[in-house]
Amino acid sequence: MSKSGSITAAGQNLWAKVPKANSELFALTYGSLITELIRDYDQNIPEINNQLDRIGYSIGVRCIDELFAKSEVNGVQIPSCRELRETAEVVAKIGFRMFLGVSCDVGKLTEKSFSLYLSENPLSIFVELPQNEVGVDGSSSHGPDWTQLKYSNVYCGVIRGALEQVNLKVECEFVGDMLQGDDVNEIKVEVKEVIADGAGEDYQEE
Amino acid sequence: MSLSTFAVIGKDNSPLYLKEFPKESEVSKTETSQDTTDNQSDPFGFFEVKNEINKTMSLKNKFLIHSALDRFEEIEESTEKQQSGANKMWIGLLGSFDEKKVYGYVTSTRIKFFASMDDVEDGNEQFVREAALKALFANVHEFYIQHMLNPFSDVRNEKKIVSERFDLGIHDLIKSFNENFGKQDNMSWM
Repeated sequence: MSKSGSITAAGQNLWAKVPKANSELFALTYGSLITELIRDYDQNIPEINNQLDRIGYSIGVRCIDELFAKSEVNGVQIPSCRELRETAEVVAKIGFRMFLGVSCDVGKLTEKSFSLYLSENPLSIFVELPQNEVGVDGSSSHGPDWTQLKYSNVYCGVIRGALEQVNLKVECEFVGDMLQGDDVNEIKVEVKEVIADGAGEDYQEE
Repeated sequence: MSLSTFAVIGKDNSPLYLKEFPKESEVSKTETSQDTTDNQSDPFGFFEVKNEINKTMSLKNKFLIHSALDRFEEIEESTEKQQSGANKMWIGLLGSFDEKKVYGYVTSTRIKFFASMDDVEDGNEQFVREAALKALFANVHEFYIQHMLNPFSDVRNEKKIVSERFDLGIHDLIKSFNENFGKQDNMSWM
């Protein structure tokens, strides 16, 4: 379809024009963030996943402005999205491409949800998750359960934050993780509601 | 003619990774209590040891590594040879102990790799082997770097390397090295 072709082209154009950072430095910094979080939260893995989501949220609300600003300045047209499919395409082909340099596929499109497939993840290029420690008597593990760690959960937060700024309240979840042995990284995005435009309660006129 | 022991030693001489690759004839003498029924049909003379990371190395091989380490320290103090590039890290033959020759390689962060190989009579064969061994050490260095870059690996306290990825990688490297340079009479070239 010409529409999706132009979205891909827009993404590649933007990627060419934004400043780049060293991918190894990026991956190592994120890795040290994760290990630091593990130390801070006493190896409580679900809590760490939540924190990553919150960190991602803060990043996401800023990223969306960056995306629109950069595209305006560089003359790249981002079509206004009339349906969820177009939103998904913009997130995958322009968003991910511009900020990470990786292309991302959209799948499992329904009325209220879609999935993003990442075949390469620049955050986890060196990572190997540790094995779960088994207790001396072979009983349940003493250490943290590494199978629960969503290493790249920050992406979920970013998507959530970014889409909330354009009035789409979504929930994101990592359902497939290559670090855990799956074939491809899969993020499931579900739309909860479309937030109405307008000022908050404090500012409503009587 | 095969590589039988491999060790990674840290900068303060702590053992990081010790692995032995026993041959078929040595199986009965090693400490493994493996099922030896199907090693008779193993064509390469290389027994498929069940891969356990840091399974305790036999005392004899540990002694070998200690001796190599002593010799390495002697060499290190005496020579100041400054070759360039990949050759800078290659130490070469450290010594012959008990029909085995030990070769060494040290990285710029003083991580040492030792490999012990069975003796071979033919001099030419030796040069070919040494060249291949240099390549092997360079590859091991790559794996080691990969292990270091993993945010979850504990490299601060000179703890043992428990990464499965590293272990499998080394295992495959050495296995293919042995297949190329192992017992000539049992080789079946593809």
